[in-house]
Amino acid sequence: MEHQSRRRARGGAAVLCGVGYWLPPLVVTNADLSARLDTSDEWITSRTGISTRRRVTPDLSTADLATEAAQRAIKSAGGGEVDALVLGTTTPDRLCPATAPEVVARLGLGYIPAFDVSAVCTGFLYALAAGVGFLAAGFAERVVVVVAEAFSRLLDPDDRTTAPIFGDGAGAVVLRQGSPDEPGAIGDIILGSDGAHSELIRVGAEGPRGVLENRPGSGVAQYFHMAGRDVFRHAVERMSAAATAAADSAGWRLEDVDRFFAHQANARITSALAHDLGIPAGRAAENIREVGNTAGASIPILLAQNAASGYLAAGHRILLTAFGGGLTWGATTLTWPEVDVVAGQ
Amino acid sequence: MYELLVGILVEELELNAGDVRPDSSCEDVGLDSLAMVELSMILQKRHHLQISDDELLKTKRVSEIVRIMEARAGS
Repeated sequence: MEHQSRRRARGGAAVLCGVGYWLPPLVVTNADLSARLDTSDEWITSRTGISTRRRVTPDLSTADLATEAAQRAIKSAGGGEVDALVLGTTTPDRLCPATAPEVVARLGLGYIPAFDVSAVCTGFLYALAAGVGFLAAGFAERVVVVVAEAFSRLLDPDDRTTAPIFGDGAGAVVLRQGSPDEPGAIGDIILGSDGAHSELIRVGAEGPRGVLENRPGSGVAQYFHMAGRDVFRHAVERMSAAATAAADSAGWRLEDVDRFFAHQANARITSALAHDLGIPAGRAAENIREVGNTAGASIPILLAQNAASGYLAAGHRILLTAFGGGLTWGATTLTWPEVDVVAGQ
Repeated sequence: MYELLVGILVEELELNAGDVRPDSSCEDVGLDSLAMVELSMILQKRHHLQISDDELLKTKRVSEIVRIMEARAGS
């Protein structure tokens, strides 16, 4: 399997020094969804492992989610200057401009560089790579990498195969310049894409008609579609290969991994993946039951929640992997540092 | 092959052992479309049995899956 591996900067490293998350307050249960869809709590739970998910209300924007999570991550990092902000999102508040500059303005961070990264459920790893790149190039000393998703805005409310799956939320980390041997140093980031299968996870109709309909002013409802079976197979294969490559690059055996953070697409994908990799039982972090599939925000939310609960502790060797639309995929490793976490409700 | 399949269904797909008999329907056992994809991947990767999820989705009973596995193993 081909990967595009992003190497650390010569001599230096990007070091994680803060983490935070935020979930919108509205909780939607399986019973709530079953009241309008031809589905049931048993069907949703058995197929996906999801019981509840958070949803934005009309007054909440992606910028709101991102600002809350980033604020908490910056506080976790002890405050201080930030030189760049990268926002991963599938749900920018506008097609133009990017949402990141508004987040910077609301955080009071001045006129620092800010841009959006779009890689669907692999969004955190792609945004992380961009942040690592800024540090490696010397463009910044400290970078906020935040992923915010309001996926509920993309869902067909009458589609029982997608409506129950996605939840809204945001997670963020702060990266600083440091050395590769420090706790928190981000390992090699494995990234890949396969545009030959771009139709499998998409918003809008298939093929050229979808491209035309996606233009502003088309007046056609744009809903999220996912080819479940094909995506399942690609997801397990790509995440398995990427995670193996990331662990190899770190010089770890998979049984050395203390905590495994896979994108929370579906409880069965996580289980199949853990089986495939031989990750010992009890080491895979999960939150899909409570928050659903939060797309690109999945991994940073998981990191922050588990750091707050103590399931993720300083010194733990952790392996991250994700897969998403594009298709895209990625993986990386780090040893978790000492870091205070601000709870994100 | 039946024992191999039961082992996969119970230990890897975490389906209920009590539901699995040769004449059980795939639906009763819990083999939905995602489970069929998982089963296909496990059979291909770990047991070198090339059976696509499309083929598995056409089966109605556990015994039919076993027959395909036996035919594929022999070929």
